[in-house]
Amino acid sequence: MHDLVNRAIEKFLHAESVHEVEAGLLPPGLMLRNAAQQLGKPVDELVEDLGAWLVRQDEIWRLLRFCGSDFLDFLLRLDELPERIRLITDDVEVPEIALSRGADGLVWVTIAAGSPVWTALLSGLLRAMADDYGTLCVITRSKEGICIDVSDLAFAEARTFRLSARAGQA
Amino acid sequence: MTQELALDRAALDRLMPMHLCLAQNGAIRFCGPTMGKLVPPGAKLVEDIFVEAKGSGTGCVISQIRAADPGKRLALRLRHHRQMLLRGHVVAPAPGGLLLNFGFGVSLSDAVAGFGLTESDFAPTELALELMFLKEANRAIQGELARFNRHLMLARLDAEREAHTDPLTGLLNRRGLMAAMRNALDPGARQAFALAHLDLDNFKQVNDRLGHATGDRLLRDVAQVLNRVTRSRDHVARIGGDEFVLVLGGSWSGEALTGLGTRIIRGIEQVSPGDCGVSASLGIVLSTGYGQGDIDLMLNDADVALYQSKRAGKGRVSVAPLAMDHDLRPRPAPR
Repeated sequence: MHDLVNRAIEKFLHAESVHEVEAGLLPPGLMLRNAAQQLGKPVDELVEDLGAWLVRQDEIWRLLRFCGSDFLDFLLRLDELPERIRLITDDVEVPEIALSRGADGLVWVTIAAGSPVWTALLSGLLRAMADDYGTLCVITRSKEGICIDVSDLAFAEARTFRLSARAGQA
Repeated sequence: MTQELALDRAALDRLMPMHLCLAQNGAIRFCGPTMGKLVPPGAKLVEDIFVEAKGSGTGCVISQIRAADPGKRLALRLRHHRQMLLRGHVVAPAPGGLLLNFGFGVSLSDAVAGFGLTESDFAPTELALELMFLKEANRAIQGELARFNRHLMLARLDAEREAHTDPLTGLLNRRGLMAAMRNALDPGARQAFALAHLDLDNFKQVNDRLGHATGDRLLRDVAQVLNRVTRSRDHVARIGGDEFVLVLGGSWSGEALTGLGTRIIRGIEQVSPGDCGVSASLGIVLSTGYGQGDIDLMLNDADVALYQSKRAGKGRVSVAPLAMDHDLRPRPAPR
């Protein structure tokens, strides 16, 4: 599974036109730090881009769309994500994700131990998923976590998702 | 508190979207919304929807349902999609009626694809979506792993080829020759072959007078000559500075080998640079009489035959008398 994570990061960096990073030889964190340096952008921004890039990968996109029928459903079940990942594999450590909803309707996503990498990754992923579901919302990332203000759930047409990857008939 | 519970159809639909209510005679009374997608239009009887799961049945679905043990699983196939096996169970909540509930079991993916089912077709308690999720996750991971394996295999093949190749000429190196000879002498692949040992004449002059770059170019030209006169199933190796070995498959006569050797010599003389007069001497042995462990012996015998050519004045071919005739062998080649 680590190979898959490395490969995903390698592919992402290629898409970002970073070719100088010795993919596969470095641990993912170091790979991303080196790449951020070359691109001249902060690491957390690059990681956020990685989160959004993941959503654009068809197979990952499908898996994510299984996790919620609309963006709010997806968001409010985000705490299932670590368990879902454990369904697939045991050797990726995903920190626990906590959700809270204020009286003002704002949804807060906080990550155990406040891991800045996971916070950045998730906010990129949420931004891209909101787009995918056609939802208008404001996503702000801070040290405390990610704050999501959903203003229009069905602002635009959601990308069509069918449970079956096969188009054919039985 | 009463122990009875009456459910209206709307509640049934939500709890069990795959339910089916039948009269005792098998007439369809009503069904849940997801089951409704599987029922062919105009269906009146349960037989219009289902056939028995096992081909050897009586053909009477309703009697199978009536006879079903309430504690046991009931398996039925869709009449118009026979590959789809539904599993369920039946209860008789009231006299004159049967209530069945079904799930897709292992036919889930087929059913979702075939009937265009969506999340709302499943009760929240069902694991259908989780199953689909797992299946896709698995397939994606397997695809990636297969890609990895292919990649590793190609890398290994590349490494193996490199380990067996002479980088200057692209011919086999000594290790590659050993592998080719092991195969050729393997008792399983017992096909006769001839082994030719070739040494360039006057090669040293090229290096001394025209430099090593010209020498290297000549070696590549010689490799081309050898590749040209041999067939793709033959093996050509460079095992030292200007020493080449050919493994030539098939049963050869002495004349044919001498003819081939002469063509090689003429070809090499044509690529000789300047007035260096480069030519070649060959010693050839036939595989007859050699066994699995005789690689070194055979190479040595070819070497002895090559020495004969050198001693007889270079630029010529010596085909050792039959390998069984060992009168040449005891003399080591003084080189």
